[in-house]
Amino acid sequence: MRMIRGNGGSVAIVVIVLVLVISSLLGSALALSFVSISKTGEVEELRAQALYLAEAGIRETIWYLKNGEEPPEYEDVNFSKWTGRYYMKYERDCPENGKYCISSIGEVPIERESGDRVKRRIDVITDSSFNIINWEERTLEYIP
Amino acid sequence: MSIFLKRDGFNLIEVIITIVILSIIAAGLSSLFSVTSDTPIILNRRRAYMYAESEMEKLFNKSYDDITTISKTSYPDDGDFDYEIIVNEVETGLKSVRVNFYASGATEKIAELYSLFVKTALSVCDDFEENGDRPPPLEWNPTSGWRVVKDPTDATNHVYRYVRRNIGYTYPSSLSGSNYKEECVFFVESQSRRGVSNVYLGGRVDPKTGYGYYIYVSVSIYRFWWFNFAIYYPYLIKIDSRGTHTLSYLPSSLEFFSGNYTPIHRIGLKFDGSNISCFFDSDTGSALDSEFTSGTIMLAGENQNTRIYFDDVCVEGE
Repeated sequence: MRMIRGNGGSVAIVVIVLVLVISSLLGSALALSFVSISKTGEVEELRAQALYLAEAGIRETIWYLKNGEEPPEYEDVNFSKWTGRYYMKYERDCPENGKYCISSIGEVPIERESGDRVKRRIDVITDSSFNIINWEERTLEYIP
Repeated sequence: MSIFLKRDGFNLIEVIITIVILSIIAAGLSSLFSVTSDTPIILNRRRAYMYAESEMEKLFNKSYDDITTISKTSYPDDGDFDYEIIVNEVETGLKSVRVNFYASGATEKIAELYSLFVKTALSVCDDFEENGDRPPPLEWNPTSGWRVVKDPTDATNHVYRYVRRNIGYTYPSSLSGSNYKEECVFFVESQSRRGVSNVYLGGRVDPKTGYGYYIYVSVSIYRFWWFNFAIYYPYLIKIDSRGTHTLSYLPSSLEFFSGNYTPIHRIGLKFDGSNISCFFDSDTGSALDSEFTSGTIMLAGENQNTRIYFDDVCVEGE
């Protein structure tokens, strides 16, 4: 207090302000890093949603094929804050006669405004009775 | 404070610098506050998604009919959350499933997953007719000694015959499941005074090893001038890497017959989770076992002065 009241008071004020500025900058950096971590976590959660949508696409394709019908190109699924989508594709006699290659992509928007999406893809091979004999989950991709 | 108090006022640059510094301080403090207040929400959401995935995976291990709605209730593994599973049969044999998690007592979802489940129905019969009325016929992978032949007791019918002394087996391609029932009929031919056949119908079998569950019927046949009889000893057995284990004994039976062929008998197996049951005509047996959860069906046989004829192999389930 003597310094503040005396000639050195101005130095003390400058030091206090500097400390506040530095701690604020550190706080901002921490907050930014936390936002980034939180964003990654959110993507992980959407990744799970997209994966189960892709699984839905595989099963729906199998259901259509078993019933002798053509599956639609895609289906939309409404979640509480956004709409997900899964695409379905298949090929007969792949990779060999009597078998089927089925592929499904599930996608979920990361942010509604930006249009970025988390996308997961599953490829399976079934026998002629549509028993799954090979199942492969593709890595995470983003579609801008 | 004297630096400020002794001044008459501030110039523009000092004011701007002061505003910038104060803004930085405010932004930093508000960010810190935001981190502190958001952290539990984000951590809760992550936990909720982890639980939701776990619940979805549990459903994949259930049979189609066991996938049913669970109304919103407290999550048994973590009281911080409520959860619900909403199941709708959108088409026959196709169910949509939503797994939703909420913070305990709240109404806003913090985790939600969606997927579909399809009834993987097996329903196939093979009567061994080339143009049978119950397509599709199964494509069998036999060891030597197996052949589709005309039924020696009915020339209009075809049957699957096994003639070798050593154990031989056959199984269909592209047929595998977990919870299903299967059955077939068989009869045995003997033209000697004494013959023995061991008849096997297997389920949840790994065709590479033969490990799985079987109904096994040992048939001993005795023939005299006009007086023939067969004794049947049926068992429910499990074959694994340690050998053969009897899971259930069914009543033995004695049967008189004429000619070279025993009457037809029906055998079957049923798998429902770890419940395994079998039947030999009207006699039934059951056991609890969970070593093998899925696999194909298999016919097998062994003969001493006998031949086994199988027919009408049917599988139904998922």
